[in-house]
Amino acid sequence: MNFNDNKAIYLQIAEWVFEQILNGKWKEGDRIMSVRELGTLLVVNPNTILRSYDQLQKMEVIVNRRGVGYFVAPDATDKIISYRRKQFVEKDVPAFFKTMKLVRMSWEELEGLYKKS
Amino acid sequence: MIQLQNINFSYQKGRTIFDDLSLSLKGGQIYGLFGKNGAGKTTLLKIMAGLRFPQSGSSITLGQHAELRKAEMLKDLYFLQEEVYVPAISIRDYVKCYAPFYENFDNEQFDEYLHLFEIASMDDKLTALSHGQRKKVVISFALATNTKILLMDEPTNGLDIPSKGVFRKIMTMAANEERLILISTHQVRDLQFLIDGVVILDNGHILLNANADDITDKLCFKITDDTATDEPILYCEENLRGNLLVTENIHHIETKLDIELLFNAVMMNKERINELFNAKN
Amino acid sequence: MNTKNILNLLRRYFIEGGRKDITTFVFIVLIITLVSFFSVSGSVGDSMMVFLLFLMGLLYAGRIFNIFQPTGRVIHYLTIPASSIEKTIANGFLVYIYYNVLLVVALLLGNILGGMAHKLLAPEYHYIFYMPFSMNNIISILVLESIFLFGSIYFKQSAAIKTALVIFAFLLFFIILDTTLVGSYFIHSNPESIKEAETVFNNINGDLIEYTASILAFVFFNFMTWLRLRETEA
Repeated sequence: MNFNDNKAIYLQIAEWVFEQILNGKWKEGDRIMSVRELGTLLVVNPNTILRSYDQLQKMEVIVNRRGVGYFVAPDATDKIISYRRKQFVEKDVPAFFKTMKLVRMSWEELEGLYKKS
Repeated sequence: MIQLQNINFSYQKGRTIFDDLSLSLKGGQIYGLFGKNGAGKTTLLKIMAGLRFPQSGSSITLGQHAELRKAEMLKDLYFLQEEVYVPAISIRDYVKCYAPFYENFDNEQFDEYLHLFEIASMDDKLTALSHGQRKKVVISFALATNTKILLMDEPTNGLDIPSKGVFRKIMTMAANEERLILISTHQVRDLQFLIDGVVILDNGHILLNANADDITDKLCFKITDDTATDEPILYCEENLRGNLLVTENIHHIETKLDIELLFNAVMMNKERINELFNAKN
Repeated sequence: MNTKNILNLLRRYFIEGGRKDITTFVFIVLIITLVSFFSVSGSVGDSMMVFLLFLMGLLYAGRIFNIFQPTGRVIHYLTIPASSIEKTIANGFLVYIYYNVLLVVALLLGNILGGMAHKLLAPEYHYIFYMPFSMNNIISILVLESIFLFGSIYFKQSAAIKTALVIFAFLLFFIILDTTLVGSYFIHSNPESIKEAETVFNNINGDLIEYTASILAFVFFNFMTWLRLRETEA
């Protein structure tokens, strides 16, 4: 895994987990890799993985069953989508609008592009 | 697990290496020890292992005075030298010789690490192997001893490119909640994501001893096109990707720790770093 | 102190150096066989045997620590999980017991082989069996070995030769001291006082003093070896 972003690694790992769940590699309700296994897979300090998992637990994307391991939450996909949506609205959309204004793009022009895509 | 207190050290005729140095390290962490050439990184590891005796101050390792080199301490400490020494025996005999000294030595782990390093034959004489191959064997052995403390002096020096990757991988396998791993190195890029504690040694003192989370809490590491920022800049470097910046983290944005940038920032702003990180003391 | 650690140290020694000992053993047996075969006079053979045994014992004791070359080896040895006292005891066992037993066995074997060769090739000569094991010899070799053992940790390179030189220098010093002091005493004193001195000397139990001094020296040098090992830095 390449960590190219400025973003903290534990957050990048959390996003990597989102990808695994969204593209169906990790299914809802399934047991996921342990902290150590994922650390070895991504070649990252296990403590960093632990922090990612803590974050994911807070977001209710995964759950920890004591003594058994970590599992994908039953409604993980919805949680991730709503989280992504929130991020999109709060961060990406304002930046997008800013650029639109900068290049003087009209709403109609954008609509045309959206329909084409 | 390791407590250095007010250590003063100099070689018989030479200059002072450590001047009233104190450092405390705890288990469950992989520490990176950084410093310029001649800063005394190897000497510091040796003091922790009881191989060098400070002129004053105390070095407590696993609750024992390190310089007594008691068997109880040595059983739970492995010191990996930069230039590993191997006797003229086979790998199999090496294990027969030395594994019995370590109660938690794990043969399966050892075999797995050797396998990952692509060392196939246990019957090869160690002295007939190349320097890099010997080092791989001794690293595998060191990790398989499962000692509570593992001191590694430039472990990736002399390893070829694929082996460095293997090294990183097996380090994540060997790290656990109890173990204290201290890696002294110049090869920052090799260990970027392995390390969760950064210790910087300079001019006889510990300039910084902080957890990675602590560092990214207080400092920002970013690549930007413009350097316009309202945060105090500690270090700036230009390259093809843009400007690499280290700033104080006023807005509480979590960024990715870059140890090389951190090192340079610390070297250029020793006092400010000290204020930021040691305010409590 | 833990016997398990000492056993582990010995086991380490035998795995690392056992093969070398076998070659040395064969070599010594061969030499003794030759000496035993060719010597006709008992006394010459005896002193030759004593000399050989001492030489072998000292060479060995002078190499036992041998941890300073190359430098990496010092750290390797010092960080082996056993205390300094356990390491000293393990090495002491190897020098004072194991190696001396090997030498005695080599001597017996060499004698027997030499004797058989004698009977076969020159049956007209009578065969001499050499067993130069007086109490004096045993004690002196143990003391000398303890000095060489100390030398092996004290000197960083070619310890055996340096130790031998130091002992030689000391002997020289005592001989000079003896001839100048004692010699001048005898020259400048009258015959009666010399006689007195002689009777005093004759009444002293020389063996007892020698044994006591030897034991003290043996303990002292082993203690010094342990101290030196504790204080070795790398």
